[in-house]
Amino acid sequence: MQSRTHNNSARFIQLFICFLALSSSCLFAQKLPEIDVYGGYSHIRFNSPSFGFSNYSSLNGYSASITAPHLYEQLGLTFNASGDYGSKLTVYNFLLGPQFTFDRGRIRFFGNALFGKGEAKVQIKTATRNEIASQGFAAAVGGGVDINIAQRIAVRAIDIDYVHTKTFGSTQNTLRIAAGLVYQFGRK
Amino acid sequence: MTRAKNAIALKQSIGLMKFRTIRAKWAMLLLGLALPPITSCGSAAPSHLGYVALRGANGVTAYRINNQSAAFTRILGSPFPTGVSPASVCAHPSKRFVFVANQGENDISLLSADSQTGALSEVLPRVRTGIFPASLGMDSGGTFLYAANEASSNISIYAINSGSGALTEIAGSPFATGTNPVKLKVSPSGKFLYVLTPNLRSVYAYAITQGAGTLQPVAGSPFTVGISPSSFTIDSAEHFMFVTNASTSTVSVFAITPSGALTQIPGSPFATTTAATSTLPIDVAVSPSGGFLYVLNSGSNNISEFSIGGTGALTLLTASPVGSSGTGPVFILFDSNPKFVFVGNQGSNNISVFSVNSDATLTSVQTPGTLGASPSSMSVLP
Repeated sequence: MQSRTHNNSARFIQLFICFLALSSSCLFAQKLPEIDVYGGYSHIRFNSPSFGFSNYSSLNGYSASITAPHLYEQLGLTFNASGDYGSKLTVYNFLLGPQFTFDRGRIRFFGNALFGKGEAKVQIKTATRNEIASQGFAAAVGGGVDINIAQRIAVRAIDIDYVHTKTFGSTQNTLRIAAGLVYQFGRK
Repeated sequence: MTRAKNAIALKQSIGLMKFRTIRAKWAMLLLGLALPPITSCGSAAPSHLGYVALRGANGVTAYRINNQSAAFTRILGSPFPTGVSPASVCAHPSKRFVFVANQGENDISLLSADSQTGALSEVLPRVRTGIFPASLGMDSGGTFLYAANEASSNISIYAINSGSGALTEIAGSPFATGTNPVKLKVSPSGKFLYVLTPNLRSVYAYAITQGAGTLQPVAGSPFTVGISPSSFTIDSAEHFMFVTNASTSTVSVFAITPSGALTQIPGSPFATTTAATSTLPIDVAVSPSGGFLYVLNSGSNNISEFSIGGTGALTLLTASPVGSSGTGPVFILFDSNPKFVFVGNQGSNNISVFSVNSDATLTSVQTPGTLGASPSSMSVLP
């Protein structure tokens, strides 16, 4: 189980490096496109009864993303990583996909469709283990609103995603709400 | 010239506005896609817990059972380790503890249940029993736990700590009983304990001293039952006891007197079939209403269905028997929702779920996934 986790982590690191390479190749090109780096608070209400919990689990944690919003006109690419934690359950998602961005003055609307891997870890202690983990397909569809408060700094007022994961042999459909700060490298 | 330029500029402006409108619509559409889950993330469906002892796996598998559909969701981490060869499982009404009789090492495991995950963790050390504990029983209040020790032919009795679940053997335990007891049951009122000893073709009856848990033999005990008795049950009103007789494929019915004594009713025993299609009855369950009886036949993999008359007399339902979806059935019990009946199958290593129709007949509705080892016992919480 542990080696599978490492393999997955390695895969996502590779994916992330590819994303950076793609973005940086654009950066060093003539156009120097904008790169947005976001970090913030995330809350999800996870469908833990799908694997035997008594109730849905309210989890809190972080959401972080790197986005090239204007690779082609309003189309861009975003990589998002999130980790949400509860008393007995931890959920991670690593997602990559296209983003559509619409700027209107200081306000930026965006929507994206992301795909990748999700991981759920449940703290169940026995004599031989402390937790059980499961990885599986994950996808998210959602969007949000950024409001610029300085030339290159924006507040992500809200980011709402419908997150679909398959872990522990069952399917979970979850709502994720996040908010935080965005630094916009190269924004004019 | 200027007018032409203005016209072109106007056209470009209109085109740009349209493009912006389209972009805005796309952005709104993508945002809107995120909103439907708000309505889909409601509270969890009402459910209750069920525990299955797995003799071959030395553990207990826990399930969350949907109250309405009886759909089983396996609790993560199952099966949870117990001692060697768990033969009987008994869940405490507080929903915090589960007790398991480990036949292979002569003790009882106390498992603590996590209210959030449903996972079980054993609280050590295990508590000693007599030799070869075969069956556990508990009063409805969860005050005392009783263990039938098949090889030492006695009953171990424990007081249950309501806070920790810890077991303390009471003074005078173990209490001697008939030779080789295989099953015991506390009557629904908690006043009596009945112990089945097949080798003696007997049921031993005891009055339970309230608050102390000690046993006093009921006058006339032991009571002779049918040939090769395999199991028994008692209706919730405590009017009748039903005993399955394996070799003769019959059910003996006894009226229970207020003092706990047993008297066989006229016409007993009753055949489990009219066409020799239901053989080797191994376990029996009575509906919570007390109106119907279901006899599990291990020789024919089916269930005989009876209506129970006012005198306790049994009448086979027209649709009886109903086939079981598994093989090698060993136990039958009602769910806490009386619309469902569960059957444990040692041949196919699974649980069969039956729905109870309005005419009291059973219909096989589902078979949750394999248990991976043979089930020996099941306990369901409300």
